[in-house]
Amino acid sequence: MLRTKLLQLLPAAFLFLISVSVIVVGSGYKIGSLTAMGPGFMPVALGVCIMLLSLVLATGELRIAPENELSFPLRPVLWVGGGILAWALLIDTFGFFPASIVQLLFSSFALPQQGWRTPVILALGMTLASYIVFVTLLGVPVPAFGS
Amino acid sequence: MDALINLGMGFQQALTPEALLICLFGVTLGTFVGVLPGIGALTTISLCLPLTFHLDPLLGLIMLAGIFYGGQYGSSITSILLNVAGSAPSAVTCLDGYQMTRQGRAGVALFVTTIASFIGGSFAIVLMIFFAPVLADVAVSFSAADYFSIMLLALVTASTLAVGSPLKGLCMVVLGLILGLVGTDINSGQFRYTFDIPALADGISLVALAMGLFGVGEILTNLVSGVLPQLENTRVTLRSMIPTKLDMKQFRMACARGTLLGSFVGMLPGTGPTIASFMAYALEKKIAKDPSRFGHGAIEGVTSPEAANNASVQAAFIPTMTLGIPGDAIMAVMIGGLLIHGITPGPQLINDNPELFWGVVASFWVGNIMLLVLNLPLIGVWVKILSIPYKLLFPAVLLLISIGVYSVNNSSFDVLLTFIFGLFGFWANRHGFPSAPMLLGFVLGPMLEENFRRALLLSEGKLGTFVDHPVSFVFLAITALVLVASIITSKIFASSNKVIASE
Repeated sequence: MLRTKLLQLLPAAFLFLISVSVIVVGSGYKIGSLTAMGPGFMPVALGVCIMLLSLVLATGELRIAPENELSFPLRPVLWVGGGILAWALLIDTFGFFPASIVQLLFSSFALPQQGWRTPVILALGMTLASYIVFVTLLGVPVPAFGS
Repeated sequence: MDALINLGMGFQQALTPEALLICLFGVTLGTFVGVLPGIGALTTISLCLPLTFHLDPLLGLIMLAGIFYGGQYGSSITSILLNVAGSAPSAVTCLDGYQMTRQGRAGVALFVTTIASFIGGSFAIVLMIFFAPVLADVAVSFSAADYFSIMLLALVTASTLAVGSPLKGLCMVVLGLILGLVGTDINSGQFRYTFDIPALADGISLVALAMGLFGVGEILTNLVSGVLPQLENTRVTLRSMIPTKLDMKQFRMACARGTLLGSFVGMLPGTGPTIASFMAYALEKKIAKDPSRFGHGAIEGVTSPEAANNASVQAAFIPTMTLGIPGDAIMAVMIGGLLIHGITPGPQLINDNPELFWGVVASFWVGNIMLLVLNLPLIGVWVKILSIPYKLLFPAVLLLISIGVYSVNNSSFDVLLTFIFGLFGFWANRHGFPSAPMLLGFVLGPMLEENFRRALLLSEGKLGTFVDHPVSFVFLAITALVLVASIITSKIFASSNKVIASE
């Protein structure tokens, strides 16, 4: 019970945390006055806005009964997210082919698997096709292999 | 008469071979991604944004706009045949459209939605031809305070009228505004929230944000829902599309009502096609003699929302092009595209860049006629495309997202941002926080700050300036009204619909 209540408050708490960091960092910039606003004025003002909103949100959540706990679907998130992360990390050092093949293989695993053949064929075919379209034809400057 | 002369000039721009080709490309691609469940117009427009850097701004805009309205046509096909909304606005089309398919009347449903879309779109284009120049003339005299209040209305409307909790919508708008702060402050040169990362000095990449929130978010949502749409054996022939006399009778007035409603809603700042089509459906159900027909294949239930949907899409270009204030997330990306070309949409656009403005307007018609051909005789092709298995589709789309985001600035850091925003967007959606207001806030943020700052500079720090200007006062009053109304309706909704809300 307490656990679901805390989980229910998580989004509001997260927003509150964001608001605090926005205000803390923002107040480091010059605030100025209403007539001559400094670069810090808007950040602090918006930070206060989101802080108030998060508090209203939290009080609202406290009043309504907790909903059924949302399970976090780990599998798709991990593989899809991991695929993009891998591409971002690999592209600069290893080049287009390794990054793209790894991403395609990763994303294929987001669904319960049907074997290796389809993902491998898809990974090779799609990488080659997109290399031709984006790098050869459209001239995106990225090497096929290496940096 | 001026309008007609201008339109003639526009057609000269829109009928060049390059323009025709790029328009065809845009509407075909739009229909294609509209048909495919799980990749929407917004994702595609963001993906194609880097392509437009190499194009003339007019051609770029013709292409992006073509994807936008082509997508609306395409997603209705999916709604009708698969009962899956290709994009949010066509969710209501599923209600009666899919029922018609189950009754063996898929052909008729597709026919009336295409015609309704065409009529709705055409009417809104005419409206744009006559109304946009007038609005631009008026808008020239708008002060900074006026602009601030109009943008405020757009942000509040977009966040509170979205489906779900208005409070959560507002949270996302403010988060978007905060993300818009990142980068170099134009007035002082101060780096804000850049954390010594050079890639952030120019701000967060619009494409990275849009792709993360929508591209990655949509795919994750589809994968998690676990229901991967599969087409049943449906054959759609031209013959099956012919409506009966009764169909046509029900079609006519519904189409007219949807068109008018959609055009009106589309012009308002902060409202988009989703609101237009939902309102149109509600209206039809309310005025119908026999409301029980709805949800069982009522032809008005597909006609009016589709007409409204397309009318609003075209009408949304009126405030976007003349005020520079986008009505929804897709328009926000489109403005981003123009800004990259160094073109600032606003009241001066029609006078400074008449070829651009009128060329785009003329291309809308060209595109809508192309869509008529694409959707009626060639419907079989789209039905085939629906049978591409999702398990092949989504990894391919994810790769396109990585490449597309990277190619904007040749920056792997942007892809990293997409990863972060993708996870955030997915998490937020699962907790009922909508993504679209965040993107709108992000694009409007810098403009909002600039006008707020300028208004107070001119009034020497007096906040009263926002109510002293009549235009600003009216928009602030409407904003307050929308806020109050949304709080009241969400309270009613929450108490009467507990069951639905907890799903």
